[in-house]
Amino acid sequence: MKLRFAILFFLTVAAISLSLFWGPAGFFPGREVMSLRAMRAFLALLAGATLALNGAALQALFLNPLADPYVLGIASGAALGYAAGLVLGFSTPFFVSLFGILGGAGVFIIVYLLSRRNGVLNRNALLLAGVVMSFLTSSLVMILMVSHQESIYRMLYVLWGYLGRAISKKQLPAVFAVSLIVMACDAVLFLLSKELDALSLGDEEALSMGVDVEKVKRLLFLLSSVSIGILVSLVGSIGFVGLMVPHIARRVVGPCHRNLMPFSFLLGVLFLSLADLISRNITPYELPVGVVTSLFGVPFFLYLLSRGVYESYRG
Amino acid sequence: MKVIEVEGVEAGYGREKVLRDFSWTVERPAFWAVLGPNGSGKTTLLRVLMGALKPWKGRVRIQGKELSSYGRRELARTIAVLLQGEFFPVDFTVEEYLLLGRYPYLRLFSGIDSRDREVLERVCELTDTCDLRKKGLFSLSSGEFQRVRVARALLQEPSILALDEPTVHLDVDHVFSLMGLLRNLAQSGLTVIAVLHDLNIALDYADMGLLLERGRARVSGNIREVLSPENVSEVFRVRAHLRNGHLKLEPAQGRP
Repeated sequence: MKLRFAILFFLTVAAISLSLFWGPAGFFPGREVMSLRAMRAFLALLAGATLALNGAALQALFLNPLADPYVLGIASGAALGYAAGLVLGFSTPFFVSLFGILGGAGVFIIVYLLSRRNGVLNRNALLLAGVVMSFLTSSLVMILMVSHQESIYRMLYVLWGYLGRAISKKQLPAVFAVSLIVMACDAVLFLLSKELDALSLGDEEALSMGVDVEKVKRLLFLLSSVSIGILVSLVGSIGFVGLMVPHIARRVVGPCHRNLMPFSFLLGVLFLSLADLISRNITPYELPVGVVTSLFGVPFFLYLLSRGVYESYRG
Repeated sequence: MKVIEVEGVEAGYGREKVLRDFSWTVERPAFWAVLGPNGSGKTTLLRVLMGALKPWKGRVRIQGKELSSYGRRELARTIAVLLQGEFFPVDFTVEEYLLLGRYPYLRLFSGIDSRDREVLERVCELTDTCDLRKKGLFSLSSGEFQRVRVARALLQEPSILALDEPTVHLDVDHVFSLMGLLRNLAQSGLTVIAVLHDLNIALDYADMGLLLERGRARVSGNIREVLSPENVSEVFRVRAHLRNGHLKLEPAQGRP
């Protein structure tokens, strides 16, 4: 177990160093290449870790191997908010981000209210409401894109994820402030490892062990909404990391969250850092990083699936 | 102090009322068998006792304290309930699973300590699960599965252990060893409450019986009196005779 963690830790540090010292950094002239790379590396770390941790937590919460940070509809809600912000003419990242958070929170509230019955959060209703709301918000984003073609390029990058966005010196404090909130949410997820273990055995089993199931569910829901909402407004919606990373981690270190959470954390950072390296080095133009995560992630995941990546999860 | 007092409880799901004006008292630790036809409210009773289902009416006291004033962890340290489960959804090792039974004793930043390990050793010894500890949950047989679940419940160090049909799917020898284990636990001072289907197993192992009929406690007390041929034939609508201390059951009409 220690060896596996050591290897992964080494690889992750190597990937982050590589992304600091290699390759083009973005489209923005007039800034030091190094500081741009550092910002990208930081965002890759933040996004990779947050997506992976939330994926692991939500898979336990839903008892469903398909769950990921996107099923709650928060990511697509945030994307809608972001797109709406652009259309309304807010060009500074701070205000556009604020719209992203509002969009994510708005969808969160709707999904939350739809899936409550007699004060109890229903897992299936949550999943369905989340999926349905992401269809709705996706079509709304599409309408915005078609009707405001001048912003289509920026919106595309929000929809597919992009780590190299221009952040001026003045905006740095705001970006770090919201990043701190995301990190705080991630830290709480770590502290919930025991509760996640219990929840992944089913509600009634967890309840009989003394876990306050409804409270933990509400807390997880809130943490996910806030951190994913903020994340999308920073880097757009990067798919697949949250779904795939926990599955691979589970195969390597088992389903116990005491090991699964830190391993997912490192693996998420490694995966997204590599994806970003590829996205800015392999083509002359820059691919959105979400395209790369899917393009390289899917075949790898299919391979794992055929080898039984699923086996420690009966869902 | 009475172990459990249930007074005039009404409970159910949505609009469906399952328990109606249900009252029952457990005076002192014993092995209780909870019996009754399907849908008579046995599982619902366990759900009420574990705090998973709030009664609409009536009051429940456990160890002299109102159920509603228990904290979640405090309740789990007092009563461990094993509802029916057929498999585990996640492949923890047996030891990882067992240690989850210590959850109600853990604090936010504390891990498993030497005291928890001691309890683990003792419970594994008691339930004969020592050899299984490194195995994965998915590789357990049905008999091992039930023993491991009982072990997890015992790690909570409860004073009441309630189980919903623990012998279902088990081969006869495993039924005997599980029921023997439960009887030993009851004799050492634990209150054991088991929902059972097999009336003769109940007669063989339990001291006390609770017979439910359409959401009400029809009769409770000494198991021999509760499972009298008259009670059994009326509640289960079969013909019942007592032969050599065991019930012989036949369909109400005709021969089997």
